[in-house]
Amino acid sequence: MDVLITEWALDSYLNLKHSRAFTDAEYKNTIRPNAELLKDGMPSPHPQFQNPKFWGPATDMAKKTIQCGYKMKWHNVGSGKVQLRLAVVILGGKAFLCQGYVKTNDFVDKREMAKLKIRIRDIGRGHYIYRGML
Amino acid sequence: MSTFKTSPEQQLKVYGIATAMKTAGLDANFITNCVKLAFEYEGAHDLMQLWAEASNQEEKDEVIADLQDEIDTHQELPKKPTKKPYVKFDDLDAIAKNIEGYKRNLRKLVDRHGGIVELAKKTGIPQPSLSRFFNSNSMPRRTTIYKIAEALGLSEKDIITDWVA
Repeated sequence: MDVLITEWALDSYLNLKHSRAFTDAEYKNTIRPNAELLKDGMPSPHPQFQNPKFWGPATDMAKKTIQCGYKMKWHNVGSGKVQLRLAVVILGGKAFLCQGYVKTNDFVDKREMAKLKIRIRDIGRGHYIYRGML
Repeated sequence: MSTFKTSPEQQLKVYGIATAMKTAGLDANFITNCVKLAFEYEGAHDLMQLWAEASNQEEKDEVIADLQDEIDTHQELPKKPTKKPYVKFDDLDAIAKNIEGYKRNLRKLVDRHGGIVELAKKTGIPQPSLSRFFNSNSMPRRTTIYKIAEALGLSEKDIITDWVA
C-alpha cells in the first residue's frame, strides 16, 4: 500500500520536532519503522495492529467511529514521556499520514479528531498536497 | 467518496454557536468564515461545538486558532492531488530553524507596529491564531503573510520566505 506524507503531516512534524516531542533516535528506530508497516496493507499482517494500545480506529467527540480514520499510538515518548499520536486516513487503497500530535488531554484529542474529519473529506475529494511517500 | 458533510441539524446548531461567538467579541468576518466552513465540513462544525463546550479560555483559544488554520488552509487547498518536493527528516531541523528565524524577524516588525493586539484588529485574524503563528514552527500560509503585510504596509521583499504552506 502506498503511504503518502501529506503537507498537514509535514507541518505537524515540524512542530513536534520544534517542541522536542520525540528524539531523533525514537523517530529512526521506532516511529518511522512503525509507520512503514502500513506499506504491507490492511488488514495488516503485523501483530502490533491487533493491539489497541498501538493501533485503532479514530473516534470523534461523540465517541462515534470515524470512517477511514485511524490512530497509531506511542506511549512515554521523548524526555517529556508524552503520548504521541499519528492520525492516518486509509482511503482508496492508500494510507495518508495526516497529523502527528501530543495527546496532553481528551480535549486535544477531540480537536484533532474534528480536524481529521475535515482531512478525510478533503482527501476523498482529491483536495490535498503530499510530500512524497514513505 | 465524500463523507463528513455537515447535516442540516448540525447547520442549525452552527447558527447558535456563531451568535455566542459574536457575543464573546470575536471578529464578524472570522465568524462568517467559520460558519461557511462548518456548513460544508462536519469536522468544522465539531470544532465550533468544541469551542462552545470548552471549559476555559485556553481551550477556547486553541479552537479559535484551529478554526483560523482551517479557514486559511481551505483558501489555498488545491482542487486535485498535488505533489510538492519531498523533505528529508535530516533537513527538518534546518527548515524549522529557517521558519523560526523568519517568524522572529516578522514579529519584530509587528512589535514596531503596535504588537499582536493591534495586528489582530487590523487583520481580523483572531489573537490566539496570531499567537500560535508566531510561537510555532508551522509553515506560514500565504494568506496569513499577505494579511500581515497589508496591515503593516510591508513589501513583498519584507515577507518573502522559502517555506510557505
